[in-house]
Amino acid sequence: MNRVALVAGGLARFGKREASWRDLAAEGGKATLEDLPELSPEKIDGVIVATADEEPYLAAVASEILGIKPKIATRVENLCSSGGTAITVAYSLISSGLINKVLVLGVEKMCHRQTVPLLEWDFTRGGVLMPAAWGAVYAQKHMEKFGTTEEQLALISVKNHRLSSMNPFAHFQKPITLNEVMSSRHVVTPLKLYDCCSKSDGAAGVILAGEDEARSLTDTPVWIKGLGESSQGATFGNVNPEYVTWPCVKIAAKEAYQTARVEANKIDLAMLHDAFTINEIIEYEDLGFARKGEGGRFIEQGQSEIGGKVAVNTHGGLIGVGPPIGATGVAQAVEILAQFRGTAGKRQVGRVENGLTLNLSASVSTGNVIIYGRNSH
Amino acid sequence: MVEIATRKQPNRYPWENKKQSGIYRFFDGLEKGKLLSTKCKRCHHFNWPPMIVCTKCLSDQVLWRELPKGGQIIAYSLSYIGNSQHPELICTIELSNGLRMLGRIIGSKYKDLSYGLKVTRKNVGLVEGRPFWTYELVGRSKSKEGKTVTQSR
Repeated sequence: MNRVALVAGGLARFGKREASWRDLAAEGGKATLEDLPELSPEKIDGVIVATADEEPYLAAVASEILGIKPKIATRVENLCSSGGTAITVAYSLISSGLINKVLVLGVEKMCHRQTVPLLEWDFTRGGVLMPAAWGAVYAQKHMEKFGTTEEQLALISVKNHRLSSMNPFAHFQKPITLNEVMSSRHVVTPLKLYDCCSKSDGAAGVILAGEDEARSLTDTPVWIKGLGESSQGATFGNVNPEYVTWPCVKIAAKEAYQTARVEANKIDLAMLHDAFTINEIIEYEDLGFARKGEGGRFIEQGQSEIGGKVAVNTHGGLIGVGPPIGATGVAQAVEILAQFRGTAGKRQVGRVENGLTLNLSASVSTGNVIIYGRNSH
Repeated sequence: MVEIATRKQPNRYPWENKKQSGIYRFFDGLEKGKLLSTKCKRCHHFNWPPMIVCTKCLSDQVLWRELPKGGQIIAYSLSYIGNSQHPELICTIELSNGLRMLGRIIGSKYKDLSYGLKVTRKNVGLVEGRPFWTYELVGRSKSKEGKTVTQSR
């Protein structure tokens, strides 16, 4: 099987943007292509667009905007994990040998849109459609079972805002204090305003290439070492029966660790899906960074800070950088690339050997895990 | 002045339409104040949400049955979304047959609630065309029958 590497990455600033889907696709696509001037757009033979936008045919639209005439242009929609799934699909197309230079472009216009219509299919929510409702359930059960505190949740938000303040592409540019998080208004108890990600527009792109192309295009390819994905359903009522542990994360992680032949304790950098602060805590545990129930102490002890056991969400996470649906998972890969290259500026973690991304959808019903490494083998 | 035509958002989910979806009975039930789902005739699996093909054995012979009214509180919160002055009580309920759902609690205050308290379904209906239901603590209701909430499609 052909090995696959990240060879380029670029972003359109996340935030409330006065720009259309097309503008964001052009801006994010241009930034990605210009990151690798050695590769001219006409040499790209695959374009995969990750978006939950209502418009059809957007992969062809994006390809045309960027002057690419790929063999395969298609779109991946998997709600908030569209980006991770799109990279997984690109990996498969390259490793099969069908194509070998693929642009994955995540683009979303989100600020103009209500969240509600996106969840119409889920009858089990009985009209309680705000995502914070499920975040609150998982938070409550974790607090009840393991004694996790609201302060521990707040520390996730403080860390991720601090990191996003060092990321010029992030929606939220200011650090916040523990007191500001704790005294922010309640959204759905126990979650407060700063425990929740916001809505953002934005775009993120990466170029993936097969082994020979990757080596000839760049001195700093970042290799995909392992992947795993699991879809456990679509409705809140049917997933995560234990609330405090998430089967789609555990299954996807197990598969990714096995295919990468890497253990959790060898991961030094991770981009996790912090739609709510409780997510990051449960994810530390289900990914094997912390023991079950000890995610709260993990953040309290600074283990997920730069310099800790594993640096988590160095780009600011969904809470700091913003969560433009299809762009979210692709932006995780862009940060992985920057960190491996050593170009993450003030957010730079020392030398990274193994990086991990976790991208989730709809009340944690689908999980996608990708493990990246400095070496192809 | 030229008027610019705006596209009307089509109803992408005509599930309530008898001609277009086998799920229409779910919406029919909601209009009549009943929360229905499907039970497989062949393997007796209770599907939730309702499915026109059984998720366990793929039989398309399914019976429409009302979900148990009673259950217990698994989690509960005050939601300030859309109304910061008068938060709503929302909850996760596990029905007596083990099925789970989100919903709203009426007739009680936040301080009265705790995990494991028994509840019964009170109002069932459609609000702005969407499924909607409420629960109340057992022993709080004076009337035996649940009411159908405001209907509009």
